[in-house]
Formats: sequence, structure tokens, C-alpha cells
Amino acid sequence: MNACPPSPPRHVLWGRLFLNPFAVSSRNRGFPEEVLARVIMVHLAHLLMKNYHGGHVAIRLALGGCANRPFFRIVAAHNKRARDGKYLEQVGCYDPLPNSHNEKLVGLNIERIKHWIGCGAHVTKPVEKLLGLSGFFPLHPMTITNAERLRKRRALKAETASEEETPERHFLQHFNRENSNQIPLFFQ
Amino acid sequence: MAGFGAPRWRFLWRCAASPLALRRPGRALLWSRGYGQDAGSEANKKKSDVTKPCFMDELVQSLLSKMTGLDLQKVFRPIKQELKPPTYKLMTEKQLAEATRKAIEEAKELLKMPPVLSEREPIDDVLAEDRILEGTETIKYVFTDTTYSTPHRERFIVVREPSGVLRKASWEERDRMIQVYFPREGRKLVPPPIFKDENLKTVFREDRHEEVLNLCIAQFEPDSADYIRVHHQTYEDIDKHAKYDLLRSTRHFGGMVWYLVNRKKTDGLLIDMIQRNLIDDATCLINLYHMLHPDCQSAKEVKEEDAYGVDLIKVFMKTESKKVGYIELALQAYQEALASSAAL
Repeated sequence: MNACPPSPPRHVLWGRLFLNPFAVSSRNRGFPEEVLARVIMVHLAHLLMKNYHGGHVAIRLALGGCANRPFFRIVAAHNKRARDGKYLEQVGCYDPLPNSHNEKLVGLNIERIKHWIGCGAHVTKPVEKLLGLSGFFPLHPMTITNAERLRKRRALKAETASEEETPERHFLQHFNRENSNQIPLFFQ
Repeated sequence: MAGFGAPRWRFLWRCAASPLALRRPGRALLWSRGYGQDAGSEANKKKSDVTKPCFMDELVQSLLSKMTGLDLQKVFRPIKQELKPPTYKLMTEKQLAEATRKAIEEAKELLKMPPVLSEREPIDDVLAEDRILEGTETIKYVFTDTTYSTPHRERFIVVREPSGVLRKASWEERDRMIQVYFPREGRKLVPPPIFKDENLKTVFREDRHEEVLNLCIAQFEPDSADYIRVHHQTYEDIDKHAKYDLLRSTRHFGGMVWYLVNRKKTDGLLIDMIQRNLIDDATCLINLYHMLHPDCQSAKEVKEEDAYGVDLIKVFMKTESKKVGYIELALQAYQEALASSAAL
């Protein structure tokens, strides 16, 4: 194997790509041309092909809007991209604040959602829950679980509230108007 | 046409070339999404039944468009738009004839009548009932399918209520959502207050019926309750005050005539036509009446006698009309005028 010139750092390579990719620097001068060509191409290639390894497309919510005014776009984007960064396609929108008719508006481009799911996109939990509420997907199990938990909590609260009241009522039932003067003072 | 004494070739192009978008708000996508299909299917059903002619039948439309007339001056009158200095063109007679022909074609396009449909049935269709979700939310969710290629009438718009019921959205909700995601020019999310009854009365007093009807077409769907209510109120007001000429040579005239003939209130219109010496229009009106009410007395008499022109009007007047006296007077005046002009 012939000796290869050492690779300069990445930011230097980017600069050289835009200025003159074919300039032969002092470091490269000693080496034969074929070797140089191969090495330069290899160094630049991995910069130009910026595909994610093992990534997938996700249909998720991208947050937008202003302070105290959120607004979500339902977006098909690569998994590794920033939440609000470059996406492949906007596929819907969701306004979490209710409007004057007490409605939360959700727009869904069903045709394109079907297309991306057909291409193997993953759907994040909030979007799955929304699609479940819309009827396009079946109801998400966590929606049902949370509903049941809330119900149980409320039932429990109602029970404890009623239990707190009932002992007092039971005690005072024995005293009616005629013998109310017999109720101990600290209970009146 | 050149009644002002202005040179003929200058007149025509003075007020033409207004972009259609400015003239008629919301015209661009107006009937491209499905009304033709609805009306066409209605017409097909009616033709097979042979019971009652539909608004969109060719014969009916030809009669109505004859009555509407084609006053180029009125159709292309200056409307409120960006101020531009008028353009003048020098033309030969042949070029002027060509330009007139083109203007007539454009006017026919502008005079295409908006559809007359019966009021839409309310939607109450429940898709799913998930009572487990009751109490988790206080706010309903409205899901709209924003696929670009589906027609608006077939779009899925569903509402998930706080009670957990998943139902189809009502017509008003549908209209609102479609306006949010696919806004149409000239249409507002909240209907402007001009369509309230009190405000309509004010507008009618100012003789602005055509403007109201144009706004109504831009704002509402043809089969919505509000559209039908506004149109009927306008027609009633015009009939009450005999202001038929306001709508003549506009695209609303056909709808008005259809409304009046269906309710047998044609007397005022007939008198107006005779007074303006439009006997052909009067015969068209009576023919339309006979088409829609083939069982009435005058229709039978006309079939037996086969009357034309003024005789037809006389037969109709004696049998069907309620204001016999007025029509007789108008006819007499017309015939006297005819006689005197013939004598001259």
C-alpha cells in the first residue's frame, strides 16, 4: 500500500471545496497524482453524502407560533432532524388553543399520511393519539388508560368526599328540633 | 349603443376589460366543484319522470335567458375598481362588429344563472361512540381532511365531542372548516351582518338588490338555508315594489322569474313587461308558466286554441291572473301606442 497524505480537518476541507477543490497543497505535493485524486475524492465524498445511518421518517408535531401561542404542524421528517428543522413534507396542522366556537382544529392530509405510512414512516405518540381521536386510527390505548385512570380518581374523590360528610350526618340525625337543646354545644 | 353622440369606435372599449376576478368575487372556482353534477342529476331524474321541468332544463334556461335580455351597457357598466384612465381604440366597422360579438359572448358568460337547489338536509351521522372518553376533555376536536384533490362535498369533516361521540360535522361547521383550510375569495368566515333581516330592509330601500345577491352568492352555498332565505326575501321585495328592472340583464333575473312562476305571482312582472313593450318576453313568461303548471286552465285553453302574442296574454289574463284590471289597462295602452306609431 502506497503512503497516503494525512487528511486535514473537516472545516478546512469544506473551505477548500468552495475555493478550489483541485489546488494541491504543500502537504500533498510529494505524492503521486493518482493517489491524491483518490484521497481527495474519498475525503469529500463522505461530506456530500449526508444520509443518516439507520434513521427513519417520522410523522410528528413540529412546534411553531409565538410566545404563549403554540401551533403545531404535523410533519413528515427524518427522525434525526431538529424538531422544527427541515422536513420532507407538511402533512397537517393542529391548533391546541380552542377557538371562539370552543373547537380545537386539526387538519390532516390523509392521502399523504397514507403515502408516508406506506413508505414505512413511524408515527409519534401525540400524532397517534390525534389520529385515534379522529377515527383514522383506532383509539390509542393510552387515551383509554388515561380516561379510565381519571375516572377512577374522580370516583375515589367523590367517595372520600361523601364519606367525610356522612359520619357527622349520622351523629346529628338522632337529635331533631324538639330535643335540639340537648345537642352538646361543640357539635352545634 | 352610441346614444351619447360619442364616436362609435371609442365607446365600446371604454368600460370593458375589467378582470373577471374583480367583477364577480369568488367567480374563479365558482361552479367547478360539483353543482353541475347535482343539477344535472336532478334534471336527468326529472326528464325520466316527465312530471315537472327543472331549473336547469335547456328549454327552461332558454326561456329564462330570453327574458333576462342582454343589455351590454348594463352588463359592462363601470364597477368599483382600481382607477385606470380609459383606453381608446380606433377600429374599422368590421373590427367593431368582431369586438361586439366578443363582448356578447363574454356577457353571456357573465349572465350564467346560479343554480336553484332545494334546502340541504341536516347531517346527523354518528361514526363511533366511545363513552370511555366522557369527561376527559371539555373541548371538541374538529378533524378536517385537507387532501387537495377531493371535492369539497365529499370531504371528511368529523367532530369528536367531549362526550366521546365521533360524529360527522354539520353543514355550518363544514362550511366554516372548508373556508379555513381552502379560503375562497369574497367569502368570510363569519357571514357579514348585511344578511340579517333588519339590514336587508335598509339595503332594499336603497335599491341595491343586485349587490346583495352577488354577496350572497359569494358567501353561501346554493343549497344552504341562508342563501335561500336571502334570495326569497329579495325576490319578495322586488315583487312588492315592482322593481323588476333592477335585475333585468343580470344573472339573477332567471332565478327571480323561476321563483315567481312557481308561486304564481307573475302579474306584476307581466304588467311591467307590457309597459316596457316587451311582448316577446311576456309570451316567454306565459309559456314557462304553462310548462310548470300544465294543469291550469289557461294552459288547456291555449292548447285547444293555439294562441300567440297578445291573444295568449289575453287568455292568460282572463283565466289565471288576479290583477285582471291592471293587465287590461297596460295592454290597451300598448295597443294604442302601437296603433299610433303605425299610423305615423
